Amino acid sequence: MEIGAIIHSLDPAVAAANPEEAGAKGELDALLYDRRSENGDFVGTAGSGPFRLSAWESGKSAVFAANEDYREGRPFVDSIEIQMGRSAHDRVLDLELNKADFAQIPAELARQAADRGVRVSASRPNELLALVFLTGRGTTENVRVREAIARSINRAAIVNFILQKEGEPAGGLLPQWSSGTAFLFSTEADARGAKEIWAQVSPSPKLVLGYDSADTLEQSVAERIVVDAKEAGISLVSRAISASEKANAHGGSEGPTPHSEAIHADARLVRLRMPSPLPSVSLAAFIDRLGPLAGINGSPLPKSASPEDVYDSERSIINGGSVVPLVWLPQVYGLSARVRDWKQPAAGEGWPLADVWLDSTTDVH
Amino acid sequence: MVEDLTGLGFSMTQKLPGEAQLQLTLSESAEDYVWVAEIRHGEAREVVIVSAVRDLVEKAGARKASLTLQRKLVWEQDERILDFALVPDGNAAGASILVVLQPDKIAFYDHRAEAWHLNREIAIPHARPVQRNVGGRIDPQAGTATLVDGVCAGDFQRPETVTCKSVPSAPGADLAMMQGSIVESDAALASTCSGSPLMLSTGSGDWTVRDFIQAYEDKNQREPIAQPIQFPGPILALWPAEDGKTARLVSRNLQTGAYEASIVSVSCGD
Repeated sequence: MEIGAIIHSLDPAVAAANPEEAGAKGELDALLYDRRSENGDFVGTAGSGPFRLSAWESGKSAVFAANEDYREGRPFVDSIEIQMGRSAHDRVLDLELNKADFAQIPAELARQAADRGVRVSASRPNELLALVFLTGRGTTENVRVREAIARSINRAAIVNFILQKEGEPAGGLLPQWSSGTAFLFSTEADARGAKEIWAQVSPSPKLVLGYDSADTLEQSVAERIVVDAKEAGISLVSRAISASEKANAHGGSEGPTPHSEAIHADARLVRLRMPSPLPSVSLAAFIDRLGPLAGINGSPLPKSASPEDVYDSERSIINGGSVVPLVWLPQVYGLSARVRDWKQPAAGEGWPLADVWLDSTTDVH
Repeated sequence: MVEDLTGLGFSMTQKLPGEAQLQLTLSESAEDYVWVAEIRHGEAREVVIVSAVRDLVEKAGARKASLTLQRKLVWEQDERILDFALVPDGNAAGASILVVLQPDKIAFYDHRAEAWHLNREIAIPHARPVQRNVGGRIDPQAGTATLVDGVCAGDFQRPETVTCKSVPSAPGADLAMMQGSIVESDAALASTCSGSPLMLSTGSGDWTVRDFIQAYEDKNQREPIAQPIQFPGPILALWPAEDGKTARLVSRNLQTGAYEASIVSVSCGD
């Protein structure tokens, strides 16, 4: 029995330039590897996990076969056939037409997919979409510039209209369910305050907000932020960042550390996925990722894993004004009717495809 | 909380201008209970956080989440099964005998070549016609199989020693039946995970509907601690097995009409 999964393009070259797709690659690695090192990297032999790679056509398809000798027992399904490079709308359509048993669905399409009869499973919000003021830009050195833009953003509108309520406004770097203190960070828009602060900036700069050219959600959010900024009198335009520009910023496909100088924008949108439900672990990972972009390398890591220390560290970054949390997104998956025993993975967990089985008595075709 | 604070000597008053405001929030993170006090005095704001590790709760939760019920189908047949048992084969070391109690006979099966084969069956004489709601139970250790008006006795590990006879039914000896299920639809087990006993319970439907079995910490706490096992028909009997860690269960498959004998076990799943 086979389970068909449709996911993003997983071409390694693309994955290196696109952290989101690299994340999806990590999901697949979790199926192939049995163990991770302390820093979360997969170690050992590919195929030591619940599945073995039996076919791979770069950028097009892959087949994972059940590992009969897997330490924790053979998966229930015989194999997973993966089609790559399908657009989000095509993935939803494939689920609707029962051409796939499992597919990632962008959060903003979750409601639409559910309305069309697709079985949808959403995680707790664990991916942060944030605006980051890039380091080394004279235009955003002035803290008032950053504060004016941050205050002008209407997060509720982003959640309600762009995400179709499939997400939460974000004021901090950790979600409420993880830190327990997210409510201490304001998520309210303050257009009037933004206007007053912007009036104190002289001369007022013209700013550019970059977004990933391949990410339609980022594009919609960037355009919304531009509208909010204009209402506060702020001169802000949005600009797509191409894959090649991003690749340069990452120093080519080999370098994991982005160089913000290579991106032609004053600020950009960034997605940050929690590697763990534990707040101290996720915050440390976010600081590591944002450090070179926002110039917060010197930000203190939490002294301990206690809520008090995590909050102190988080607050110092938010107060610095270089990182503006926008919204929390869940991971959304579409499942066919015959998929059984699906358990939504927690933050940092791989897809539990070794545990699902397919009910052959369910008529899906 | 107001009552508690008042009891501790605090006095509650209306908010006065210029006075500090204290807002207490009881929150929780992925690991801790978090108490947050926000103290505002004019424009100034101070946050004080006190946390307590949810260790005990987390451990309990982890134990609950890791419990898994498993069902192993041992035997199925068209004729009604009242009870069954697996006992060591006294004539073949390491082998087992399956004992199946029916309303009119008791059968002994040997396990050979990956299958159960009938070795011996003994008719149970009845003083009166078999009732529709007949019940029966095997006690492998005592070497008895008891029905309302019949009994079989002997060494079940050596089927050739077992004999059955009719007995007068004692007042109140009938195994009470309710809604098609035997009243005793709970089985207490010793947990393999925490050492605390577990209670397995069936659903409350009659024998025209599907049933399920669920695990609870005790009989009075109705908070299930594992995913239930669904059955394609009613559960007719549920008894704790002699090892204290498993239960034997008889159900009827409404799709096939067959009676099924199963062993239900609990695993920690980690």
